[in-house]
Amino acid sequence: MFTSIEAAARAIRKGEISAAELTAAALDRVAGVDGKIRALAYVDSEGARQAAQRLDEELRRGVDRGPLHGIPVVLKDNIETQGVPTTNGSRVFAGRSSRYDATVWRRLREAGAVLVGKAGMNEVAWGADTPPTGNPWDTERTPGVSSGGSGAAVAAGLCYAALGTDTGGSVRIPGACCGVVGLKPTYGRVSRYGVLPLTWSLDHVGPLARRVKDAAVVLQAIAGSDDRDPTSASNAVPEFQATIDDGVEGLRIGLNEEYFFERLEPEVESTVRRAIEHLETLGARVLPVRIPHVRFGLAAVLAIELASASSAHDTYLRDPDARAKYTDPVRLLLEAGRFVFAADYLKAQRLRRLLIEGARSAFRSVDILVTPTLPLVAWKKGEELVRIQGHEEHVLHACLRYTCPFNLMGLPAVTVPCGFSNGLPIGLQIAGKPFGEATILRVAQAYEASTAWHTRTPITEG
Amino acid sequence: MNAADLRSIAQLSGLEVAKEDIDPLVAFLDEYLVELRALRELRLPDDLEPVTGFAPEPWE
Repeated sequence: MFTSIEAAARAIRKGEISAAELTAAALDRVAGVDGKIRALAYVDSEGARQAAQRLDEELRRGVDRGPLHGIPVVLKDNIETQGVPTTNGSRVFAGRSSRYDATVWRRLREAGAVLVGKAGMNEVAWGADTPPTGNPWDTERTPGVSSGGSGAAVAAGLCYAALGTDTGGSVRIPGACCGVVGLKPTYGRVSRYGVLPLTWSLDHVGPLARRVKDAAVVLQAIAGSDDRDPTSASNAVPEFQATIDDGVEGLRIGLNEEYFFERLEPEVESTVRRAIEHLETLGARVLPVRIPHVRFGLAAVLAIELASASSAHDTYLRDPDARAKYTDPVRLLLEAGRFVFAADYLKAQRLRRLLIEGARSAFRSVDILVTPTLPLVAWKKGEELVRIQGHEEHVLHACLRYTCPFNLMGLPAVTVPCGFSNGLPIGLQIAGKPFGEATILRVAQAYEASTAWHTRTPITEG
Repeated sequence: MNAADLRSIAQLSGLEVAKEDIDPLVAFLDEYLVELRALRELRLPDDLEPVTGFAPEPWE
């Protein structure tokens, strides 16, 4: 289960393994390991077995759906999946079964992916904790924020790839915490139809995988315009695999030292700086850039996210029975959104335009931006406050600081593992221009192909 | 912010907040306000319009 999608797909076509056997291996892994890390909220054993058998039958008839044919995947529990529970990680939605497929799942299913199950998530994708999931590298620690179950499932080898959603960093944060690749595409690149909303203008859907090329394969399958999502972009989707091995020779890397290298754990900083030096040895050039006012991004994200989440859950907050089913911390976050003033919300949206213009200007002299994904490694489960370089802050603020600006700006960003601190993974974040996923994947692939961090696997033998 | 302030705002806005939620909400909003105050104090250009519909376009 720790090979690449490419290798698994090749083995299926050579007849070395069937989709049914691969799916059985994934389900065995779930049975052996998931009791420890609890990454999955729902396992669809029977559905997965039947789908895999159908896909084997198709291959025998010469029908080949492409690189994802017969590949086991996991979806975050806020992605509608017909006939399978979609509970948004909350008792409010318990027992709810989807009546239709989200576009991302329909596209993955049509590409031949096999659904192993739904990943555990933060309640309604809000807050800093992902109970009860443990990080496969240390089960006492968090797997990251709301797509933590997706990150843990991938890292522990329960599937080849997973989908998560990213409103302030929730694909990249579990990617970094769990030592896997996590990609947030450009806003509009991937349809959000059938994905339960948290913050309409910040929500993105993206893949988590153990290899950069695996993430690219999944992105290829799910990207592209969708009439059912009003925010979906009609821009052409390039063939990501066509340029992914082109390397970084001559590529200009922007470093925004101010803000993105402030207040972070020393070992995270030194590791990320080594990774950047490594990219230089591969032929990239590092140039200083500055996105003015980026430090106000967190306040803007909080204002927009608090207000939007409160509005998205308004119906349930007004229903006393439903309201009582939220856990206290999440209900408080949702209620707090009612106290965000319209003027503050609009100021946050004005700041957003300023950040977009600042980034646009910065990107005139560089091709990508590189930052640490997080200022810290995976924190202890349930920890509310963290201390970094003598400064105490809420863990939610700490973990969003470096990722959320890219949600505000809608820019694509990917995290790749670039080292470890006390046995816990560290992520390197690579961000690009709008619809520049091919470039950031190229950089991520060049880094991965010349380092070995991605070959480490967590100790999760069942 | 204190509990009385919050109750007044909630009342003015027609929002119902359970009695037991008042204190934790005050604590949370206090923390949030630390971030927000800095944004409030930031001087933005007068002609800067808010993002009201979000649709990124490719850059050159």
